[in-house]
Amino acid sequence: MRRRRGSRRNRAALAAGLALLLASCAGLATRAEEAILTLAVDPAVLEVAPGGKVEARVVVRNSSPYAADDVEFLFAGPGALTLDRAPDSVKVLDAFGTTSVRFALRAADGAADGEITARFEVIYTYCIGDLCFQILEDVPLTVRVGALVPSSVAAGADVEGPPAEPSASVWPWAVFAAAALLSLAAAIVRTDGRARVALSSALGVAALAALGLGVWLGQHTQAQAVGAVLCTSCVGIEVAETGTPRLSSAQAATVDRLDRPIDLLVFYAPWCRSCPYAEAMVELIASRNPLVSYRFVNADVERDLAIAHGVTRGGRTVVPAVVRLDTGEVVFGAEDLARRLLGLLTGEEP
Amino acid sequence: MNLTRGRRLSQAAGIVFGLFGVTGIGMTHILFPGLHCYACPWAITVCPIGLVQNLVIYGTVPFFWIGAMIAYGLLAARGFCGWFCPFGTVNDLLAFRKVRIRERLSYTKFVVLLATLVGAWALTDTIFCKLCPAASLEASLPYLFLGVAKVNTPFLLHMATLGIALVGMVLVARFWCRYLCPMGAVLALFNRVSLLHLEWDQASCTACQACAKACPMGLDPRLEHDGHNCIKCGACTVPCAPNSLNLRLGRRRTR
Repeated sequence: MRRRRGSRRNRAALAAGLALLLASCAGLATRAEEAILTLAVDPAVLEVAPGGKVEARVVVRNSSPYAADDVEFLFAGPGALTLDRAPDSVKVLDAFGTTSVRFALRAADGAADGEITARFEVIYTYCIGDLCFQILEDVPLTVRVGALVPSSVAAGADVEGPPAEPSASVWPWAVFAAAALLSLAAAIVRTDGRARVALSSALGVAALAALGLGVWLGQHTQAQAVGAVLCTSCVGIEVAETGTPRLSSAQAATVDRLDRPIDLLVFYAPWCRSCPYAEAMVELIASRNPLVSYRFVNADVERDLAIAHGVTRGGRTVVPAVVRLDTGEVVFGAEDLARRLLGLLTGEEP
Repeated sequence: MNLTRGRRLSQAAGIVFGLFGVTGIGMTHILFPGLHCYACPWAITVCPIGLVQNLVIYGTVPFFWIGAMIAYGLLAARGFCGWFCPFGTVNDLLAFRKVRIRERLSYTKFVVLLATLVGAWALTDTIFCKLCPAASLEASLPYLFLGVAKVNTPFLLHMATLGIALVGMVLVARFWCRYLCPMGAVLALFNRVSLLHLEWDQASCTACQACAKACPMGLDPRLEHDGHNCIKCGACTVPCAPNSLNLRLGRRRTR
């Protein structure tokens, strides 16, 4: 009797392991049907006055385990809208990577009030081993003309947190739940002898399946990226700054008085909550004084550049970080950023 | 080499592995089998608790994470707390008062784990990292000296949680490991099935209670060595005169 009960337990544990493997396969199949690049315009509706300019960004997320190469954006819209700043092409977007490209649209002086639709045609190359595809996708743009909005709005200034992720399908979560339940069973079920061996074996199969699936999906790289680039608000070095950047009148006057060209590098990471604020603050300063120029650098992609400019402390790259190129000075974080950036720009103690 | 010396060497290896970034090799893909902050300037491994919060925020199904956790669980489970975890070693160094564990209170670590995951999902933020005393010790303090961190509210909050944890450790041996560690909660799930395990031979046991007095987790190892609180450190095996308790690596014998 005891023997038969043990045998039933063994069969149940092995069945659980097999079910997990099957569910993993189903999860992979579901994964294959998902879009490669997810494209979203931020903000979703662009508001611009006739003759005015509006800035925005396209958030591009690679939801596949392979890189997307040479992502190009071609504007297609009616004559009432022209592209004031074309989005930069993205050379490589790593597996599961997210990036954003900025652009600006200008409405014609005589543009009639109302809603105009336009679009970006997005072309990119996607390779799995030696097999490459060229893929074309559309990103629709909704532009509302006539609203009384400022002629230039810094994109991202009011964006809270990282761009929203597309919702995952149910199957991968089912696989995760099965593995979690099996782990829970190991904790709760009192097993002995062969039943314990069977449960351990099922857990071993689950561990190998989950690790293999994780590596295949590039999650080990994702883990490394999260660990390699540290955002200051992520572990409580400072509070996340997500408001709209502002300069006091005295600070604005200081920016206006800058009389020498200054080049800045702004290091960010897609998952950094304070980075949009730091980016928008630098844009705000640069919009007041054309002698200030800047470039945004994805620290996760250009790690060598981060190391070269001292944005890496110990072994960690810390973002957001603003580097003044001629002096090599660095300002980390977003807390009290306006005051500290002015110190960086003027060379005086902030 | 006796067990205590072997464990001290293993704990030293855990610290060296945790701080191996001083060699300049940078972050690897490895998840640390313990509570060790990936924000530590010299970390080369990813903190599982920090990572899983990020994955919950991104909506990523954490296959790699759960695979690694099960693998660590099958190998040694909470043995990593006793033999390898650097923050566990801090607990160990302050383990003066080996008082009896409060069994019900020890489930708090599972509540902390659940709250960490729910907090990440509900608030889309790594809330636990902002309170974690290991991060206080391994990230906040080093970054203060590296000129990145400032003495601000988050820093003071970190120092407060570190202070509370340290006082707790002095008053109750392995306070953090007993009651609050979410990483200990993850590894505890596998305590019954891990290859590293304690064996008790009831026949030779004289019930002298020397093992219970030596246990830093405040357990009675004879009866609780398979439960979620045992960190498989083997401290109980040292004073056991009849050799009734033994730490083994391998297949468990059927009782």
